Amino acid sequence: MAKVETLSNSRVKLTIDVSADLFEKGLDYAFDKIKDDVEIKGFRKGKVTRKVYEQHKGVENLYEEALNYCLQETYTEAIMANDLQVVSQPKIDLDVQNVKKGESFTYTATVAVKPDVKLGEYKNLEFEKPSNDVTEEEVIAEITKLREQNAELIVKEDGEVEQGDTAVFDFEGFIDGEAFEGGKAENHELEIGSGQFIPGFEDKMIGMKAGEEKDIEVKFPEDYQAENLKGKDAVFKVKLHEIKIKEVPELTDDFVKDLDKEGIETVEALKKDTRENLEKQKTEANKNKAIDFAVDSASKNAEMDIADEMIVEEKNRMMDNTKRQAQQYGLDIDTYLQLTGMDKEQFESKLMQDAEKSIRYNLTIEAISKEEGIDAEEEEIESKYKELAEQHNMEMEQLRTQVNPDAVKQEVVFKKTIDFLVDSLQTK
Amino acid sequence: MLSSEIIKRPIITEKSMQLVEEQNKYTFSVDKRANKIQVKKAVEELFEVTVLKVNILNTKRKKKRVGQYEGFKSETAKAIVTLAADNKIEIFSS
Repeated sequence: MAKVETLSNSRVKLTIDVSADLFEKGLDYAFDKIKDDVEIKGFRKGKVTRKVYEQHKGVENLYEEALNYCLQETYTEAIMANDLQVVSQPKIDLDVQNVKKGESFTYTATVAVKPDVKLGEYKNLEFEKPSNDVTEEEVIAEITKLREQNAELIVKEDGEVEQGDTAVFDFEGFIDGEAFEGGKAENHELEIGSGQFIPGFEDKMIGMKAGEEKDIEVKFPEDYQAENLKGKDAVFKVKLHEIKIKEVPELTDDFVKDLDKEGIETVEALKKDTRENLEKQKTEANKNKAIDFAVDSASKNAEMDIADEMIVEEKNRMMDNTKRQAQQYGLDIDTYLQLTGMDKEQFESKLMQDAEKSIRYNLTIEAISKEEGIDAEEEEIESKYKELAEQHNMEMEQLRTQVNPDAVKQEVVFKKTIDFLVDSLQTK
Repeated sequence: MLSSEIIKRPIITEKSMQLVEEQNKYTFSVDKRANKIQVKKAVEELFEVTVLKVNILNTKRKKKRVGQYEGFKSETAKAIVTLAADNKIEIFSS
């Protein structure tokens, strides 16, 4: 039988005895596994008995496999018997010297378990609800954005290149009089001030007239991505064809009609529609804010001692997820990190924080749901299944085999608990 | 001859193990010169058991070749010893 000892940091140390009988069973199991591949003179392959094998090759060869068997048996049994909620791989401490055929032995397993949560204040918290109202200015700003998106480029007949204009031109770049690869294009469109070209280039185009030719001298920056161009002085021969300016459409009924939105034909209708959309966005955003606030405060007020192993395992799980996501875009993790501008250490420490936070949240919500007796009804689980089936476009039956009902139940309970917390928020 | 000279070694094969299990018969490689009575006495003395019956069979020498050299696998005699019902010999036990 196992002896249970509670350690700090939500760890539990199990001291477990393995009887000689069980070890014998383990040896049998181990021999059974290798039996078919044993060759001993006088016996056909797979016909050797365990006794003969032990005399020839020694019983020690079976120990490793037998131990695995015994540990698994006794460990699982101990976990079940003591009703432990294990959250990490066990750390097994076993002196192999003590293991002998026909004798019992003892080992210890240290595991991290779900910590006890001591809830602090979590309901009826004060929260200043941000207003869902949308002001006239916000509507106008939104519509202006829309107009700019629909701006058309028209050719400026005469005049000079100005900031914000789009220039259409040919160019060819030379370094020390030699043309280099990728330095040439025809009829290239460039918005002056967009910063797409190397610094200085766009500025020097300001003031040029359509049809004008000019040599532009620039220096490639030291941190330019192409190795052979870094920090070099270059001359670009530029021929400007035309200058285009952005024409933002006026806000008229015609413009609204051009947008081709169903049921919206007048400026008034557009304003109303925009306002409604903004209100929806705001309501949604504010709801999320309230959820964040409720869960965050509740978990901050709660006390728990999360085992490091638990956080590390959650972190690894998150890491795997990220890797899988990156893979879907055909990237490996290193390139992915490069793109997001994080180095590995930063990323890991960020994941650690996220992992701890997410564990805190989950444990807090779980504790609250227990405290408040929030449970999921049969129908609620059913409807969640239905929802999931629609989301993943799968048959209900198929989904049922893949998704554990306990997980679905937990999700329902979590959602109900969060709703409960948000409802209990008191307006300041 | 000494008992330990008569009994050379136990023969442990699938077949001999089957004989042990099913009929309590033990197979040994024995000196060719020994007769059944000598084998019986030797086994009784060495393993402290009661022998009911001894059968001896001579194995012929067989031609073997190692590379270019030809030779023979040595001749030996096999003794199949039947023990009394509750007698056992430890080295065979399985």
